[in-house]
Amino acid sequence: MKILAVSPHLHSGVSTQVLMRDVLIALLPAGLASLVFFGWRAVWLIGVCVGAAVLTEYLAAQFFKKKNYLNDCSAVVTGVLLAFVLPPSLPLWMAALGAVFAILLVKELFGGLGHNIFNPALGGRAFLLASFPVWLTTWTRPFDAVTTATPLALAKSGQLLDAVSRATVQASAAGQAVNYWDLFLGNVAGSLGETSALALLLGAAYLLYRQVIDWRIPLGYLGTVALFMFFAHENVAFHLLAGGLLLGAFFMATDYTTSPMTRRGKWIFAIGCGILTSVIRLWGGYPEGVCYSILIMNMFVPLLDRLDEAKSK
Amino acid sequence: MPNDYKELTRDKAINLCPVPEWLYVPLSQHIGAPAVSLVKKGDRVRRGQLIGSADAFVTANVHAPVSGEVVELLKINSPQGRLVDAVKIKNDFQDELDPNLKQYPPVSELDTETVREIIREIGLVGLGGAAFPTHVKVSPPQDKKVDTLILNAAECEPYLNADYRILLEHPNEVVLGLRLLAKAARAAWVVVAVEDNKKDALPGLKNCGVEEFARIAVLPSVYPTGAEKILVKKTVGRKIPNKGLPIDVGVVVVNVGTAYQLARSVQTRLPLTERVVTVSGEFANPGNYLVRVGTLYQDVVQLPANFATKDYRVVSGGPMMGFAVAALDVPVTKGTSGIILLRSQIFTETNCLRCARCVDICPLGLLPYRDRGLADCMECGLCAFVCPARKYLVQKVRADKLARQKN
Repeated sequence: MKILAVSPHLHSGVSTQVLMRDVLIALLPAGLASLVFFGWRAVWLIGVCVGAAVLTEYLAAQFFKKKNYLNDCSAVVTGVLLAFVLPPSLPLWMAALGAVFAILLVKELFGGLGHNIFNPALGGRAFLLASFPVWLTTWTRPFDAVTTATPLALAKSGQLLDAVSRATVQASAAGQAVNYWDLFLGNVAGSLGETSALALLLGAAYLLYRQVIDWRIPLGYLGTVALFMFFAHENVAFHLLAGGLLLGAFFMATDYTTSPMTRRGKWIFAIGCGILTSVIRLWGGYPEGVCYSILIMNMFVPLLDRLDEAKSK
Repeated sequence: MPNDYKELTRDKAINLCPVPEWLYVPLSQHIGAPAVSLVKKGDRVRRGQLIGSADAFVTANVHAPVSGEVVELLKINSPQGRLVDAVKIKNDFQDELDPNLKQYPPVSELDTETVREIIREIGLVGLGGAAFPTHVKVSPPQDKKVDTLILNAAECEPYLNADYRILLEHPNEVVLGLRLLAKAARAAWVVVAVEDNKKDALPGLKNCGVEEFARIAVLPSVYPTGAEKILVKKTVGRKIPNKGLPIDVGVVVVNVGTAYQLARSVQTRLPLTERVVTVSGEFANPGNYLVRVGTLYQDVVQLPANFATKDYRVVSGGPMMGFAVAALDVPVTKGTSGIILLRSQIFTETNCLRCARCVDICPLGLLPYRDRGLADCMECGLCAFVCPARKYLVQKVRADKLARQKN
């Protein structure tokens, strides 16, 4: 059959599915790391989150009478990312609830893929943190699942001593040692997929190589945190490696739908995320600020887009 | 563009395309007013005879591509899908030349006015695809001054090799044509702009003395380097204003095929009645062909056997900016740079992810995802090429421009 269509008659072949598949591939190293450090618990948590997310997307698509749902795999990505920002010991029904919230309220009610204002996975996490604060701040040690505090929490409460001058930081009150090697590999307490800097950097390198994400956002985000911590006389390396910063900078802040379209907007967005994260970590009520920083900056995205749209009438 | 598919016909020398028995010569093959028919049914015409006269300023003469008999004056579909007046000629295969063809003075004696007159007489238009009458281009209004002539040898569209083959096989004519065009436009500076994938054509040009009067600019092979706005910026660093033309910054851009044709006409007295066409994609006969204007596509290309069972599009011109034709019974015109057969599917649009690929790739720095502010768009197609949601971005721009015209 002869096809009549407007030019161009070629396409790059990079479709939404291909992009989502690449993101899933990039999340694979962090997923494997979580399996190593937190065991089968990781499989359960990821499985429940993905299952609940996909099921919710399916039901929402039925309800809203949508076609071509699910085949873009975006619900799978949201499910995996949500699991990665939850404590490994979280009850599975809570995780499922978070996934339902992320897909139904954060994403689908705003119009679905491409229309949501907030990052669905982070929205789901914020909802759970508000609903079950104790469970969402209960962390376990890798391998033996003994309850402990995260390095950032220890640093915040002054139990992580002398973070600037010594490579190995003793957390004497908690009776444990945290060193940079553990921090880099991921052998520390934290959310399921955030602990291993190595695995996240591998995935990030893949995303950058495949040009799935724009380098401006992670560079602006991480660079701002590094500069901020440097001038605040904090340990820069510790703050880059600890907590959810790498996961947030490479996989959350770069979410297409909830980040700006123009280069200038991306820089402002990334720097804003960096400043907010640093401020929350140093002076806020929580030890970690990545989740809220990105969610807050998500709100500015329409305004940032309008900065450049106003120029082109 | 990761793959430009040029290797399919890169090494194919220009071949004569067999001249068919029936030719359909449109009287409107160019931008501007249609030419006025000078022949009627039953007239005998000879090759090179003026059959459509340029009565307005922005228009171009049309000549008989063969000798034979005018069978009919009719309406025919152009490759762009418009219904245009055409002259149907039955070829007598004698190729008898029109006795009225002028003998031009030797090249050394040609002055600006004479060259401009020759350009107008031979019906020369931009052979890159837009088919803008060349005599208009080289005759700027009093208030505009031309100082630079750029030979557009970028040929950045994937698949196309017509210009490249002309450069490679006929450097002498290209250089002569370029000299004449520079004279016609009174341009002090001449630049030959070529993409770096055509560097092997440069020694030939240099042997023909192009460096005596022109500077060669080798540009990276990045689509759409050959678009005038981009080309002028990259070669002479001047920014064409929005909705403006190269002439607004003192530049005239001409295509390789145009320069070649001018030299050929001066040498042989024959006006523009044939052009080089790249046939590529999945046709059974990929190659570069010298085709008489008015030859139907079906007489140039051979569809592979059993192709009707597949989904495909036949593109007139390059795949990024060309037109998909509805049928193969449309004629090759002066603007037909290529005929490309592509396997194809219809994709439905999905939700915009806001991935900003369109913003990042737009060579004019526009925001293609928006429905406003795109009046300057040159429809290069890169935004739609990279869009993961397969948004009909160029279609939207065209519809928008049409709507503005109507208002």
